[in-house]
Amino acid sequence: MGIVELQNVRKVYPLGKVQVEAVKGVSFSIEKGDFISIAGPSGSGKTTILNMIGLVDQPTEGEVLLDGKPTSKLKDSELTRLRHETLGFIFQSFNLIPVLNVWENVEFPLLLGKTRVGKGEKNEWIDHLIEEVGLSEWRKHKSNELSGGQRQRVAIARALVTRPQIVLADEPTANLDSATGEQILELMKKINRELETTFIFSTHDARIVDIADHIIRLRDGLVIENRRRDEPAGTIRTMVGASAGAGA
Amino acid sequence: MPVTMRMAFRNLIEHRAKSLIVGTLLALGMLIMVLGNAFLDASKRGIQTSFTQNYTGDIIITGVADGPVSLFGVQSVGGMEQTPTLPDYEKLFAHASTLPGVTAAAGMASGFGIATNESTDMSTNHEDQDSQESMMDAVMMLFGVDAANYWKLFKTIEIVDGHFLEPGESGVMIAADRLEKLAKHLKRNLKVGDEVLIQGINGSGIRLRSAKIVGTFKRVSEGAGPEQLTYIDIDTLRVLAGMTVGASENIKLDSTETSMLGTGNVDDLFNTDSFGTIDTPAKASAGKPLTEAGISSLLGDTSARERLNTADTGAWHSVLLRLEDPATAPVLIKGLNAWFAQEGITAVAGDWQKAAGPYAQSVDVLRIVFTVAIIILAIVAIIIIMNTLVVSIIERTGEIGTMRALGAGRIFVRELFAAETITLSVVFGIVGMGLAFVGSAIINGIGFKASNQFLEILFGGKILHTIINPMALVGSMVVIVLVGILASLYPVSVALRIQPVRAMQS
Repeated sequence: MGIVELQNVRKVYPLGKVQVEAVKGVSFSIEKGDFISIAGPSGSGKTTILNMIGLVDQPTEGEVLLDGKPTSKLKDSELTRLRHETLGFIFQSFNLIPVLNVWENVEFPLLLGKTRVGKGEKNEWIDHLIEEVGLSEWRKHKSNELSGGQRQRVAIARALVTRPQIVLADEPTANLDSATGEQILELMKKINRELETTFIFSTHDARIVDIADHIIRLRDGLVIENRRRDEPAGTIRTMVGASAGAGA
Repeated sequence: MPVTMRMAFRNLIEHRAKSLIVGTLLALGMLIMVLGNAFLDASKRGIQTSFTQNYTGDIIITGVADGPVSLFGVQSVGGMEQTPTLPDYEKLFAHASTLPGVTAAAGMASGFGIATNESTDMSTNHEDQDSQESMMDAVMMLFGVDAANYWKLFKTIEIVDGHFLEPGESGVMIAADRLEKLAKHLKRNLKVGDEVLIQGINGSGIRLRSAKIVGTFKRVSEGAGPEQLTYIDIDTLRVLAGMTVGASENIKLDSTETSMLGTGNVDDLFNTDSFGTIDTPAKASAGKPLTEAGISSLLGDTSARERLNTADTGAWHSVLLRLEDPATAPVLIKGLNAWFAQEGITAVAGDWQKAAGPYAQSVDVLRIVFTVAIIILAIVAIIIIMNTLVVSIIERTGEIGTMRALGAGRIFVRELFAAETITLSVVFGIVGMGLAFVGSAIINGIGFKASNQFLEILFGGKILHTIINPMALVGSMVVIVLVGILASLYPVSVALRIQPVRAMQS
């Protein structure tokens, strides 16, 4: 059983009077510790799938399972708790809280949950993460005083601060120059190796696809490729117990 | 500091233009509330001091009527005519004046009169403004006093010329600054010792009495109060106010007179059978000159009428009490009213506000108008603040979505906005308070003078003062915070509807 499973997931959006089917019955499974790329052109449904895995959006049909547990029937408060405890987010536009400095932005998720960590341990962990992303000198700076790459580093540290099992990254290199993008990818790969955190990217950045352990390609809301890196291109892995659907 | 407070402070600084718009409204609201209350408190205190020292004492006892009874009569249609006299005056006065804590007591009655000349033609057209002002100078608010006790109750009255009315003495005491106006109206010089003719104004006919000016007076402590107040001996007042034996004595009618009351046709009262045959003056005096003695003989014996027109020496409108400690008034009033009920005396005791009647109520009316204005202002402020906050929240959709995605629950979002609103309300509320203190100091420093009697009542004295009451400060702060919270309810509900997915779309 994977840490994330999608079972026949459909997502339909109302667009004015028209219903748009963004995801057309998708099933796949993600293993713990994977570095996964969900790739595809714009409009293929990759961000929609990432949102559903991140429990910030609900499927119209089908089920998303986190660690084997279905999520479609959970209440808002339970989804909030699960997001906080299990998931970390890295956004395309960084989404740092503008009134908080680097250190406080990283600390922020720790202030939300019910679990309380000792102050010394907490500070040490935050300092460690900030050092890991190379921003020790910038810890007191606010986000508007940082470059794009630095902001994304803060976002990575923030995503990791609660020690989540899964980090979701929505096109994390889209707003970065190529050199900075590569540094960020290396950093995430390093964390993936060291902490065994599962990284799930939605991207059309070929560099991410190249370093991913697991590649899922989408087109028009369907999975057209689902393979591990060592498997031949075009492979569609099937999932036990799930409807194969169009692309599963 | 909790993260919500930290973020609230920083957000307010970050979005300083919006904070200033909302904050200015809140500070302005606070300024208006604190200064308005300071003005009203000063006004009320001014009226209280002025009235208790000069006119009402600390407690008033009056008869019972349909409307509230004050020193100035009954506040109802009909006014002075219905002012009840005190029943069992002697017993009531003896009890009230000897209560522990009562330092002075006096009975009094009040009425209205107009100073006039015997030659004055009442049909004179007074339509031009000068004549109307002159007429107002002639109007007298008459306080008929128990001269043996009244001056002990009101030590703020000082004689300028002449002397205080003495027990048993007949006459009037006129305010020194009104004597000249009165003389101008009467078109003759007036001084202590001169007689002045007063026409009583009441519903039982016109009564004229001549009264000697025994003294002119001024007050040690000036303040709001009836400008035209004139002190008069109680017996003359009783006649002018219609408090005569005839007014209070039961008349027994014989059977013929009673039968006339039951007639259905008014014309029957005036037919010849009712009167018999009488000699008309013309017939009676035919061929003889018309003399005063002749007319008197026609009127017959008038002794009964004269008896009924004499003052009812037991008639008083009120008893005023001075207390050693004015703060004990509520307890004494309660005790007195219980005693009245126990003794079956239809009288009621009240505080200075009851005694001051319309003057004290003017402040209450002002306070109601002010409160309504504040409510309207608060509603307008709530709408403006709400709009500003909604715009702010829409601009921060991505930020709120991000916090929700990272694991912030709805409670956290609610707390964050509550912290922002309360911080804004408290900070700008304090700014508003500060401005109110400065405004109050400026107003008190300038010392605006009341230019007419209306403003004197409004100011509670000759000069506008403001007194900032700590309770009003607390109350105003509570109102400002409530306004802030009410204004944030809808914007917060908008914020709570923002889904975490919006983080991805920002």
